[in-house]
Amino acid sequence: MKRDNRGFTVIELILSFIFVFTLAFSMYQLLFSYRTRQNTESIRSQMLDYRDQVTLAIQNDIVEKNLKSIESCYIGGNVVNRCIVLNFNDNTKKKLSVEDGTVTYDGNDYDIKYIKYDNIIYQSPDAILLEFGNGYIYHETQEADEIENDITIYRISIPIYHNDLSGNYGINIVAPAYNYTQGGTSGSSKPVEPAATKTADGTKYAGSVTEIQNVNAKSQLSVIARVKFDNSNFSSNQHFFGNWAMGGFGLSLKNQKACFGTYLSTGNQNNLSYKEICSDALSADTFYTIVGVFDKASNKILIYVNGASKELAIPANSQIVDSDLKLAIGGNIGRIKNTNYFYGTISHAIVCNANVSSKVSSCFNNKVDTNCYESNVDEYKKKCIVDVDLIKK
Amino acid sequence: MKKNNENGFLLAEAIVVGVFVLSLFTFLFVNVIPLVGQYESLEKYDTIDGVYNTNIIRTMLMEDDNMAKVLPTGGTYYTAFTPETLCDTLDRRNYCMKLLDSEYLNVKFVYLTSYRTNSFKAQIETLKDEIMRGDNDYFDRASYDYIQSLDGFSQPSGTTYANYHRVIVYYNNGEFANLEIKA
Repeated sequence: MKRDNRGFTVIELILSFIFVFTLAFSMYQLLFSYRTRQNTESIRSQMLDYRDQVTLAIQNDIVEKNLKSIESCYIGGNVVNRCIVLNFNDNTKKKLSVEDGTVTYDGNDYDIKYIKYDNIIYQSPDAILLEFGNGYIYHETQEADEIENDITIYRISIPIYHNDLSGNYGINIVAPAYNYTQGGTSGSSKPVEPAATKTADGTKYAGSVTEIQNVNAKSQLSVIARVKFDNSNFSSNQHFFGNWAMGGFGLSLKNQKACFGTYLSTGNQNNLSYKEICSDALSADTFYTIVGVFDKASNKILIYVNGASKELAIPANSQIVDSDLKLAIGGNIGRIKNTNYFYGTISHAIVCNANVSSKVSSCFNNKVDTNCYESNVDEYKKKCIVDVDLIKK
Repeated sequence: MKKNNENGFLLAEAIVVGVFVLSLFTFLFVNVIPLVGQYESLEKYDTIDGVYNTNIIRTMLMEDDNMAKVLPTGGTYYTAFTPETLCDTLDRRNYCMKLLDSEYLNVKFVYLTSYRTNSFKAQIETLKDEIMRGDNDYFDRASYDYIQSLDGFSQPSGTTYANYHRVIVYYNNGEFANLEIKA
């Protein structure tokens, strides 16, 4: 019978031992580094949770109430820059500070620092090992005049470091503040709007909006307004009649020209586009009859000012995208921060599901004839879905 | 009589076992290291700071007629901007430049796409080779990975596709965030 005499030799035994030892050592290193990483990640996760908790509390207020300004405050001690007050547009204030405290751990007392916002203490589970940057709270202000005259940018930062981690795990918040000097439509910051005043030649607007009704028009459309712009605000761009907001249409004054703009689509969601046609330059303190036309038949949009027209070709099969907003006079309620209010007088605001340009234009071939304009528009009344007479009778 | 084999381990056996063990380690290394990298990348996706900062950009884009100027048109499923090209497009250039500057939001790129991201992702996929070579001006490996990780997003009920879009912001610290945007 054949015998198998194979077996370990001493050399093989040594080689095998070295191999197994190397393998075990490698595994140990791997497990050790994994364990270290796990511990680090656990601390990091706590730090991120802490940061997110404080950030969320502050950001919720900023988003909901809108930040108006930030000012420094003093809570005693030798350290400055450890307290700020956030002023919001609803005239509420909330204090954000880094304060001192003591915790007992393993029978020893430790001085710690924690964040306090709106009288709520935010203390990290690893508070003993936290280090706050010198000065604790930094806040910077980019003055409005250096950017735009109605916006200020604030930055709040509270650098926080952990003894076992590298890097800054602190609070870092950027918040623009809109200074609502002439109105606004956003949230609680909306100021009281001045009422529009009706006069014998029309309704005078100065930073106010009148909402009328929902209007959705996809085919032929004429938007008519008889309007006069105040000289004092004539250089400002102004929305005076429309319902734009990623849909809809409207008339506006841009660079002292009358413009008709509309959001168009050819049915494909990715083909949404804004098309706008503007007139020649206008003058202030003069009544103009302005007509914006969406002419589906000839694939054009047109603007008529006292009969003089300009046109812009649009893609075939375009249709006006529905707007979620009501038609409005005096501004555009779709704007987050409405700086485009109308300053002037408007006597008529009309929307027709028809192209009334030929009739309206004929009134102005030789001179501005308000009676002609009004009588001809009357012919189209049955096709006009909005007809607002803003003259005080 | 046939001679017994008394050689113990054969060299060939040692090599085979060595190769097997090496292959095992290589397999583990190749599969575990990318997972660690992927985990670190995911930490930078839609962070709380990133989302709130994106909301500031979203608010700025929804002002005035900005959206009409920045949305993709004509068969393209996205628009990509550097801070400079975006701010040059908007009415409030000074504010935009200051806001996106490294001192404040520290933005690298801003992308606008439709609410649903499937077409956008497909279009970026066609640029993959160029992006991976580092030859694309607006996308790199990090932004490619983030875009491909995005959900497809279904249409909110009772809304129209045309009014909803998505703004994606790539920050210089490697963070990404996206929000829907509707003017």
